[in-house]
Amino acid sequence: MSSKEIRVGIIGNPNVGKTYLFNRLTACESCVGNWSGVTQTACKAKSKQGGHYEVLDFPGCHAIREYKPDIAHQDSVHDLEQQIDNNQIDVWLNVIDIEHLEKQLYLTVQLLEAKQRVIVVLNRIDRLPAISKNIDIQQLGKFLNTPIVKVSAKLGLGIRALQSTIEDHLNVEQQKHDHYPVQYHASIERLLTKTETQLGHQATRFSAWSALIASDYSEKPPAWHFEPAIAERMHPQHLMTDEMTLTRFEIIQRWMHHVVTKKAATRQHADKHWDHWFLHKWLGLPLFFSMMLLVFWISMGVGQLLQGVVEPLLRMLVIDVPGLLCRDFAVPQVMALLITQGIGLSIMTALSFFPILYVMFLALHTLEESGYMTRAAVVMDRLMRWCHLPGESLVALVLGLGCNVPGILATRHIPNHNDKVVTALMMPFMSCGARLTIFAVFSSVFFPQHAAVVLFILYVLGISIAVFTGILARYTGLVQATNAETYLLELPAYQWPSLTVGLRQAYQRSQRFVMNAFAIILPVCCILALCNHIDIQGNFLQIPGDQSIIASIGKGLGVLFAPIGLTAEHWPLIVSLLMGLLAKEVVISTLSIFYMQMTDPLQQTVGTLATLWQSNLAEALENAQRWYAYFLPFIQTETPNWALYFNQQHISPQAVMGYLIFTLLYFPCVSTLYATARQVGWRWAGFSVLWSTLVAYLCAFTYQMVVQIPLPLYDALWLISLGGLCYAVATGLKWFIRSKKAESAPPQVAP
Amino acid sequence: MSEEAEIESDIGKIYRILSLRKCPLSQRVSLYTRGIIPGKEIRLRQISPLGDPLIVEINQQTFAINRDMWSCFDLEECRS
Ligand SMILES: Nc1nc2c(ncn2[C@@H]2O[C@H](COP(=O)(O)OP(=O)(O)OP(=O)(O)O)[C@@H](O)[C@H]2O)c(=O)[nH]1
Ligand SMILES: [Mg+2]
Repeated sequence: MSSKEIRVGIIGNPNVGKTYLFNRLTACESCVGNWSGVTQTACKAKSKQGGHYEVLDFPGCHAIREYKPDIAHQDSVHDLEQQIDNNQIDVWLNVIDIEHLEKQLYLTVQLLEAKQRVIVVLNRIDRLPAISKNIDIQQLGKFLNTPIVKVSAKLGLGIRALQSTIEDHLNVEQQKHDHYPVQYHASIERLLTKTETQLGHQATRFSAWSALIASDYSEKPPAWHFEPAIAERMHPQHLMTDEMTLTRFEIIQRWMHHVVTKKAATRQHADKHWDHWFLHKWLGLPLFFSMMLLVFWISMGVGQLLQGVVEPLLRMLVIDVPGLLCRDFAVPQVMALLITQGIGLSIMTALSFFPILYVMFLALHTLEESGYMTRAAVVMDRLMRWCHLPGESLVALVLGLGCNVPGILATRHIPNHNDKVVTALMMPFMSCGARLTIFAVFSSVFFPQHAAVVLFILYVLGISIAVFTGILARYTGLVQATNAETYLLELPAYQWPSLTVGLRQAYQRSQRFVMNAFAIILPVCCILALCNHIDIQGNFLQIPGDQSIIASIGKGLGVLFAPIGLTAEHWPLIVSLLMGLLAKEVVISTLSIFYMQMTDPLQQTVGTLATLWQSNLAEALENAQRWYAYFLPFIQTETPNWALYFNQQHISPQAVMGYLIFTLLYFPCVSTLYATARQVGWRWAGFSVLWSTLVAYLCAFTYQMVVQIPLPLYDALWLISLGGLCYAVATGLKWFIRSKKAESAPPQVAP
Repeated sequence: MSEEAEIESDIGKIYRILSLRKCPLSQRVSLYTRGIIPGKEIRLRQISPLGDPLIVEINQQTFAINRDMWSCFDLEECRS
């Protein structure tokens, strides 16, 4: 074999099991899910078997050159086409779902026309008994003139056979042949040959085909439109694209008559039954919201339970024991501070997210794998249309509920750029997992009786503001709506999610999130710990407090935050908001640094290893025994020790609510900013920061106004005038944008 | 009959697609490559909660399509 890296590409329609196969052939654990478009960019990895070839998993596609060739957004498809044009892949594994052979063979035919080396992989053979179809594989192989392997990527069946077929195929020199699976009408064949010659010696029949169908999109008709032989053959309203596509299907259908012998639709009945309820006229929406509530209730319950058990032990390991050792070995104070409050606290903070995120990702994976997530997009589609957005936006927004960054990244699946921009503008208001932790801590301290209700209200507020932003963006004409909105979504079959895959995938996702968060939290914790223990003159403070550098900054900003209920005395909260711009994960760690050191300063670490072990283990066991408490919204959930420092004297529940509203709505973090800029440009990313911060301030301020002044008339007046102000600003903006557009439009030519 | 009532009355009926000529080319191509081609049988199964999209069944596969697209299809009723 040559020294050049051998590349095996996995290609196929969306949601056929390509990534499952990729994970089987390599040691990777890439994301899978029962909906189209899980894989967004090509992934590559060494094969498991000796690793002498590279496997590439491409995003799903129905055809090559499906759309107008100049559409920039089809970048993933464009990537793929380049690989094909430049013959960069040594062999393609064309994954086909055995249940939908006919339509998926279209891509196979295209690959063969493009003279690619193809191994057809028939996936989901485990489903064969259920669909009661007989497939004559030998016959199909003869028609296509390619090797065919049957596998079940999910169960790992047939993978060995596939690996040896790949090896054999790579070892055999490719035979030069001019066999094409599809023969078009003689007149069109002649045209193809003619175009191929015109394009030069590098041209292939496929490039000739590409050139021919590209002319369907041009304004003026190409010369062959007037060729009598072709005109006679073609339907008057058909273009070359229709002619060729339908010819391919005609031949595939002919093959199917010979290959598939028995047909019966059994799966459809079960699907129909589930769809009847999930897409029900009246029950569809309540079911959607109940599902979402259930996901959050379970993730909060199980996540906090795990957190309650693990945290005391973790605290002992990374803070208490190192503190004890530092004291015993008389380590200098600054060093001890960095070890315990810098490194120790950052490890604890980062890991404390893990349980909640893990369970949330597991629950979301269950929804995705079961096939419900796509139905959710359908149910919400009309609602999204109010903001002129496709249902795919909702999938991105729902992903944003886990973390805004993957949500923003998922917007690349939205075909239209303007829709992408609007979705990106809405995203910061989708409360992410990190903000959930903040809400959970605060609501368990201040609203122990109604923690779940407060959480729910905050989520609903976030979603409402997101929808409001979408509507406003369209209403003002800031982002223009597209006219011809095509909506064509394939609903995947329902299936039982696999628990082992779910556990592994959730682990991967949450581990990646925690590792990224840790990289930000560590330096922040170290800097904060130092700033909190050093005063403006540079002296080390034994007990942090009002004199520290950070306290001075926080107090200085108190004036700005006074209207939303936070004054200079709440400087730790103000500083935490600033730190939250780095990452929302930092908010709780910032607060824990300030308040823990106020309640339990460094030098108070007392006891021996044995007593520490005993007390922490007892705490963990006690939490485990009270497991049911985590699932009851009206029983107080476990709160970190430092959070108990908050009390009604220090801060009122109203101010806390203002703080939570601000945290919910102001811009999430630098990673989201970067992701937004990557997807829709820096201009929109900048606008998003300004808009979300303004909305956050206004909402928190309004809340304070309404709560602080208990006069219904006054409150009503305030709300009405705020609404009026919003309307006036929106109308003004609309008028301004229209007049700007009219100015920049080319002048009308007089008749 | 109003458009709403007309679509409601179509639920459960099976049609044959005669042509997709009325759809714009790019839309037509995406329909073709998903196996939605003239000659196939299509069945309107359900209307989603807020009235749009419509849930249809073609080739033993379920799709959600919007009303505009449904009205682009040239259909002929086969059976109920
Ligand atoms: N029954 C069965 N289901 C399978 C098999 N392989 C994959 N699946 C299911 O197919 C769905 C899609 O799997 P993925 O590997 O994410 O599909 P993909 O082709 O990579 O999808 P995109 O990245 O969206 O194009 C998952 O829900 C799997 O459970 C199989 O062998 N048998
Ligand atoms: Mg994939």
